[in-house]
Order: sequence, then structure tokens, then C-alpha cells
Amino acid sequence: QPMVEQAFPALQRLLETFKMQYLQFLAYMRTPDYKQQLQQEIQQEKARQEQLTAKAGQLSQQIEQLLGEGKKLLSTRLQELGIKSA
Amino acid sequence: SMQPFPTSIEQLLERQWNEGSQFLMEQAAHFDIRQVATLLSCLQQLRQENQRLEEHVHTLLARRDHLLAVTARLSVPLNAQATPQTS
Repeated sequence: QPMVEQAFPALQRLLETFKMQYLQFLAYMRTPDYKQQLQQEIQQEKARQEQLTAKAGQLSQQIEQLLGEGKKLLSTRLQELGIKSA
Repeated sequence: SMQPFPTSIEQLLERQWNEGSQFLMEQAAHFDIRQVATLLSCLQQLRQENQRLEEHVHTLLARRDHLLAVTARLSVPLNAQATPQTS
């Protein structure tokens, strides 16, 4: 118990700090600056989403190509073994 | 809802992180003069979607690389495989 009580003043100071930080931030959240910052971040995320979607599409296409190529190559290799494949 | 007692500093801080962001979101909803709450949830949703997309891209990348390796192996004629050549 004495250990816990010793920590009390320090904990009070920490909580006071947190309280101040939250109050300051809540005030900041009411400013046009914060709204603008959020809108900026949203634009960034939207741009990122476009990038990722494009990348995914490109990869899917490449995968389809590779699958086709692989099938062709496989039948070529099978022919070398004298096996006819469809 | 009662959460389990945190047994590591990380767990404690993660819980505070969650509670803190929950608190800020609620406060934003209360004094929503400038549609801050709407913007915040929009941003949160976008980030979640992007994280899922990123995982999807990673999966596709792995599949693509695997297929590249497979086609590379398949493109070597069988008679060349017996006596490996440096390409």
C-alpha cells in the first residue's frame, strides 16, 4: 500500500497533464483549422484509395495473363513429353 | 462492458487509446458546429477501407510473384532442364 500512496501525487500531476491536453485539443477541434486538416486528410486517403484500387486492378490483370501463359507453357512442356493436352 | 485486467503496459495504453478516441469522437458529436464528427467518421471509414485494400493488394502481389516463378520454371524446355543452362 505505501508504494501505491507514494505514487499518488505523481499520478495527480499526470492526470492534470492529460486533462489539460484533452481540454486544449477539444478547443482545437472547434477551430476551422482542425476542420481543414480533416478535409485534407480525407483527400489524402481518397487519393490513396484510388492508387490502391488501380494497383489491385493491374495485379488482377497480370495474374490473369500469367495464368493463361502458364497454361500454354504447360501444354508445350507436355507436348515435349508426347502428351497431348487440350 | 467489463474488459479484462490489462497485464501489460501495451494493453493498458491500448485501452486508454481506445477510450480516449471514443471520448473525442463523442465530444465532437456533441459540439458539432463544423460537421467535425461527420468528417471524423468519414476519415475513419476511409482508413479502414484502405487497410483492407492494402491487405488485398498484398495477397495479389504474393499470388502474382508465385505465378511469375511458376511460369519461369515452365518456360524452360524439358531437355534444357536435364542440363541446366545459365540464362
